[in-house]
Amino acid sequence: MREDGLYKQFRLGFEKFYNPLCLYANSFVKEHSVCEDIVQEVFVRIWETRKDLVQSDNLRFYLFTAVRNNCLTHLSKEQRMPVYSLSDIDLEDDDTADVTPAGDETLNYHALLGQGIEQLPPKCKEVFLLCRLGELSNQQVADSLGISVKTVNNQLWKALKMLRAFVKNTGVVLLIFLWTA
Amino acid sequence: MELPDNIKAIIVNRIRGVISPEEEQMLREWEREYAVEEEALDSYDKIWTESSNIISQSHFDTAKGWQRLDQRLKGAGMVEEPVVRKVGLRRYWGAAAAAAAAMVIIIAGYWMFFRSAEPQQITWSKVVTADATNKYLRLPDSTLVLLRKGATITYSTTFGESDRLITLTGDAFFDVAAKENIPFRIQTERAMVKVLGTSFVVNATPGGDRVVVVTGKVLLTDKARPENKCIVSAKEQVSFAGDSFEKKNVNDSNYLAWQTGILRFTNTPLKEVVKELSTYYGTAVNVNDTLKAGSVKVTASFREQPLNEVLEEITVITGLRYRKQQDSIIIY
Repeated sequence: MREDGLYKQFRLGFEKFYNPLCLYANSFVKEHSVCEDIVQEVFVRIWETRKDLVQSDNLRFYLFTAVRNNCLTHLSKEQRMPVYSLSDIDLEDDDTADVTPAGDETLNYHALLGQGIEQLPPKCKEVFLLCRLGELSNQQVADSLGISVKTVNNQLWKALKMLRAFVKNTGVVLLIFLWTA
Repeated sequence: MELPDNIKAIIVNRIRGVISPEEEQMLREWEREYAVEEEALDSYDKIWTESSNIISQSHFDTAKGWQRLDQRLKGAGMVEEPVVRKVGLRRYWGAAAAAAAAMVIIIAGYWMFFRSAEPQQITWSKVVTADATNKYLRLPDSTLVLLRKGATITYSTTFGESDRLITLTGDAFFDVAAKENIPFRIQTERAMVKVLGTSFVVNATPGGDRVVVVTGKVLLTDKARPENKCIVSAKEQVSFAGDSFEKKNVNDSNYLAWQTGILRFTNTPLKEVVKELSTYYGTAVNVNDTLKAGSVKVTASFREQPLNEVLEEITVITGLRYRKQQDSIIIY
């Protein structure tokens, strides 16, 4: 493919993934501008060194993995603790985060679900976001995070279960059951 | 009741759209057998579908992001562009270099977007950033600006009409178009730089302001105390950390190194050499304290060489050695 054609394709990729990648970065790094910088850097590096990826099926996987790594690097440079680390994931971990809906009865489903996602235990949230924003396969998510497919499945399941309980607004009871399960 | 693991996995697969026919069947059978809440599976589907909308609710500006990336890649020459433009660009660089040779003023320091002090009725609408490489641009009044990698300038939409005021972070070279009745000014966190001559370079690093003037004149004003002023003339440099101006003569051109790629030392104390190297390469280079660093002098010149080559050469010249520490380099 000629260079300008490839560049067009590169642009399409950018337009497709920019927002999801920034949102993903935003789950680690609070500052929007830093998220944007990190995503920019990743795209620059692809164009500089890995043009072959532009047409590859692995682009998506590469992008999300690179953004994640860069976010963690950024956080460690800033001498801040990463929001969490998945490397020491423990299936029976003590996710004791308090996922309890706010009392407001008028909250609609969306707001409630949004709140629920925010309040997912960190590890769980990351797997969920990576699946959802990145639309990566379970295998890709596992590879990207360096965890097993089984763990991805478990975390996803956990997310679904918690969110369902949360939006049903009967969270407390179900969650107690969930944690003891 | 807790679901068996295989059922969990199947439900996840189903949502992910990778459920196999066998799994589908297993799920149905399991559903019948254990009479799960009917709406259970649907509610997972709904969460899955809706969550996508929710997560994507907040938006990052893709168009702006692309514009920035595009400019950056093209600016760095990493995207092929029409030939005409390339020629034009090269000519400009030639012009900028010539201007630099003819009359240059350098200002180094920590120039920030002014935040405090006099709030002004100015719309800072134009923002130009040199992300990946040095970047050349021409202001509406035809002033030439060469931004060093990492530098940003802003100026108003009305730039040039009654005032020529810009803000700057980072380093930049200016070849200011002569307009006697409209002064050219650079506003910084600490100071106001007013151009009295015709061209100059602004070069900014954290940790104090430094103004170097090669030819022409620049007026530097303390923002906190406007009566505190200093005129900087050719071959002079002034340091300003917020209290008083400290003036001394300049006899090398290393402050231009980011533009020329040339670092030249003539009988320069090692202590000063490492300072220049740190600034140029962005890596802290230190001299071991126990050395009588003042007595070691370096005469050498480097042209766009990687830091390790430069260090090799310096250690050969001085008989010293160097080693990498975590993120700095120490000469001992």
